[in-house]
Amino acid sequence: MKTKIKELRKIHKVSQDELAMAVGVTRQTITSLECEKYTASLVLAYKIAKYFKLSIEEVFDFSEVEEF
Amino acid sequence: MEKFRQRVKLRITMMTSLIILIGIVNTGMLLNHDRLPTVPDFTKGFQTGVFTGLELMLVFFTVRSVISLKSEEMMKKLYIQENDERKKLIRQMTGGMGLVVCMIGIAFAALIAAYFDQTVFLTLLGALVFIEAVMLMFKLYFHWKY
Repeated sequence: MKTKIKELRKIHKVSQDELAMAVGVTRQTITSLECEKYTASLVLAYKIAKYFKLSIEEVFDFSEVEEF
Repeated sequence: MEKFRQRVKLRITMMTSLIILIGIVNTGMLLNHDRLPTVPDFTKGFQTGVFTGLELMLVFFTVRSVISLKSEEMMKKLYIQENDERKKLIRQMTGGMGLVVCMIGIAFAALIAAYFDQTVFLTLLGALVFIEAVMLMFKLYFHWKY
């Protein structure tokens, strides 16, 4: 899933380590999210969005999610 | 975090008890080796290796937990290491897929062993049935839990 985490981190001048510690995951998880290799859980998505004071949809791109 | 701290404290107590218990069993076995049934050197070496490895592993995890208890930052790092959702997913996938591969391997080995040795065949079949039973038990438990 596409995310804006990398851009938001650069805007807010936050390192991967700092963000990881703030939302309670490892730095590797943040890397995987940024590389679109891993999709965050609802709780993690909420925590990341809250950290940047944005809504989940503003951080994560749901346009490619398949609808049934 | 307080809940996790309590869990770490409980874990330290359990691991320390286990270290003492294994130490007592190991010492008892060493002191009474002449009364115990004679086993081949390889088996003896394997048993010693398992006990020593287990002891070292337990000591390592106990020390790590004790150190983590003393610092808030270390505690948070330990919490993250154990509860990171990506790591949890990797553990689940590794366990699930690893088990399936092992079962297929054991099934094939049992089929081949059936041509040569019935004891080996039955042992492998027993192991396979046991793994299946354990898996079924956990499947039922998790279906009930979630």
